[in-house]
Amino acid sequence: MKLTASREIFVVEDDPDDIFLYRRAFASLIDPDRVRFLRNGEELVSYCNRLVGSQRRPDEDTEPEQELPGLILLDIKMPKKSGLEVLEWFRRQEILRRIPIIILSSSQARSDINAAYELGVNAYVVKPLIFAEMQKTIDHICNFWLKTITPPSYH
Amino acid sequence: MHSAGSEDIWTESDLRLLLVEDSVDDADLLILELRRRGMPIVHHRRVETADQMADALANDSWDLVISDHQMPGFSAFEALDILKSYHLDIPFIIVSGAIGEDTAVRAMRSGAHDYILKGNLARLLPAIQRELGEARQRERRREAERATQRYVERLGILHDIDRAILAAHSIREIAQSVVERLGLLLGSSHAALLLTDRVVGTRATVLAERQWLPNIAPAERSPLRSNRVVDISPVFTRLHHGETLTNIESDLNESTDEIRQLCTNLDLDLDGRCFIISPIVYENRLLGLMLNIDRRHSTFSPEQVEVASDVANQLAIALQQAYFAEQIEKHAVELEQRVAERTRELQEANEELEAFTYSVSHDLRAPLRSVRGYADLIQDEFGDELPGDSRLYLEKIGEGTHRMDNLIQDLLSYSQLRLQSLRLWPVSLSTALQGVLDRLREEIREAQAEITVHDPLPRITGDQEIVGVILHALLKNALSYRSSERPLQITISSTTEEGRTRLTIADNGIGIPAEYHDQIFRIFERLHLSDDYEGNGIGLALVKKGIERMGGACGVISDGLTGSTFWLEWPQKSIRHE
Repeated sequence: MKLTASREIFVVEDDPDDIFLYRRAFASLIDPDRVRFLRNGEELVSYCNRLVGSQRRPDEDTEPEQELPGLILLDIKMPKKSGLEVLEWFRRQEILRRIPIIILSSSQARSDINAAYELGVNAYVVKPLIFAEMQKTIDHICNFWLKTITPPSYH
Repeated sequence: MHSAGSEDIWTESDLRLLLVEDSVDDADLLILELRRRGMPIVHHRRVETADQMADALANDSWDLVISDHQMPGFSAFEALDILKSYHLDIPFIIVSGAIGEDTAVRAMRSGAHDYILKGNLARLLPAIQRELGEARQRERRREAERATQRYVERLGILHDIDRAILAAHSIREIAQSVVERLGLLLGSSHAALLLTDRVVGTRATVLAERQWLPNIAPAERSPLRSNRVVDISPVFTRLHHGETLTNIESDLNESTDEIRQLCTNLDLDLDGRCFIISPIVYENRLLGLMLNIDRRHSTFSPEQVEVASDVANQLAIALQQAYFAEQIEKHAVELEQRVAERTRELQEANEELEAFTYSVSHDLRAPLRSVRGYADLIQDEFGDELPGDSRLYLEKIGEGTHRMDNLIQDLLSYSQLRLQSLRLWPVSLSTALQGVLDRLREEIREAQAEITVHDPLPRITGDQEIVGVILHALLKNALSYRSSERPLQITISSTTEEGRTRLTIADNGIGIPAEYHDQIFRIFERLHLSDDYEGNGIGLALVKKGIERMGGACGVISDGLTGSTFWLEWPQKSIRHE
């Protein structure tokens, strides 16, 4: 089995309204199949953990190719694990630390912003209030992180 | 020539006479004669050899030696030598038969006080009286010298005690340093210091004790171990009245009931011992007692009792001061603990408040975004199909959410301003202002405002972020409250006076009536309806809180008609010119 980077965006968001608005914003930009929504950080952590763990089992070579997220959009304020905790966890992993992570949060608190950058976030974005701006922001993100940059490899 | 009245001139009583004489008859005759003349001889002894002389001097005390000159196997010179070897100052008069002048001179040089021919009582009696008188004076002088010597020594020890007390850091140290010196000062063989309980005055704790007897048998060891608590109620009243208890004048074996009771409490046997129990009294309060026992002597002298009192009085002052010092220290420690406690409480409260504000601003924005998001979606997707005024209503929803979002952001800024720790650095007001003007470019264009900056603005010491928040709030305020009658002009300039930097932002807007000049800096105070002017009543509160946190001040000058001039002032110490 080979671990590769997908072209998929993982959005970790607990607010159903935000998820709805995200979906609408993404709709006109990329194939909806390429956006995966997770309701909390633990889902993301166990998903990635499973992929990295299965890589070490030689008998599963026949399994289809497993894909890590190409980009993670992370909310901060979530039940159980906060976005900052999820970010910290990723940055401590041997391979998973390479995954680009962007925080998209309502918080404008200096403490949150600085903490995120200290933990090694790739970008911190404050969720815009106006839908049109939200669309613009998502458009920028997709353009830059899925098209402009050269992604890392995971093997 | 000698009247019977010569008896009157004997000032001594109970004279003890040592006779160096080989003839019993001569000796008896002389005693008889002397007694007849009124000499008060209570005791006499005749010796005729060196051994007898030495024995007499070693085992008895004498006021006068009368010696024959030449005896078989002994002489006045030999007797004088023996007397000198005993270092005794006793008048030595030679009474003898014929004697050569040179012998007489030699005898006087050897230390004899006079030389008188046998049978010449007329000369002998005055000589005896004279020599006794002189010996008495010499003794008085020696006693005075001894007293002076003792006084100097005691003074030295008392000074030593003073120094020890000054150097001591605690009541216990004071007690120990004093007790250590009592052996030398009073000749005590055993001393102890007890401190009375501050609450129960009849209870005392052994603070320090010391024994000076060599090779103390276990049975003899003091039962007054440190920290032992003793009931001193039997003697409390007498000590409390400042009375020193001592058995100096009473029979050593007949202590009073009170002392006997105290001894029982102390587990000490004071029978047959001399002791001084000195009260330590400060302003009618019995602080403790000092106990001195001497097993080697039968009594303490009145002088020693007095010295003990002196020490006890010194101790009273020292102990009281140490007590005060310890109290002060205790209070200081308690105060520190209380301050630490309050600080912790305050920190917790601040942290809670911070968490609360953070949560509120964050959680309020999320639903607001939903409201705005769905309203925008309706307009985008169904705009064309919407009937009548519904598009206007959607716009109103949009505006409302925008205002609400601003309000939440300002609230968050305000709480951060209050709670965040300051980071003071040199800040260029020119740079800070440029950043704010960039952020407000859209609004400035919309208001068609003409902004004049009198560059260069100085550098101040402040928090970069707070300076930005303040300037942003002041400019937004000027943009919001512009007059509809004239194009908006904003002028920004600075002055430096006596080291203080003042930044002024002057506009030609609607102005603020004088009676509201204080009110506008309070949070949520607004003078105008939100429909007429933008603003949420937090901006100027941010300005005031921010500048005050940096140690500065702010204010407004306005006639209420032709505009407002807001000023900010940074304190002297934080000024650094560009």
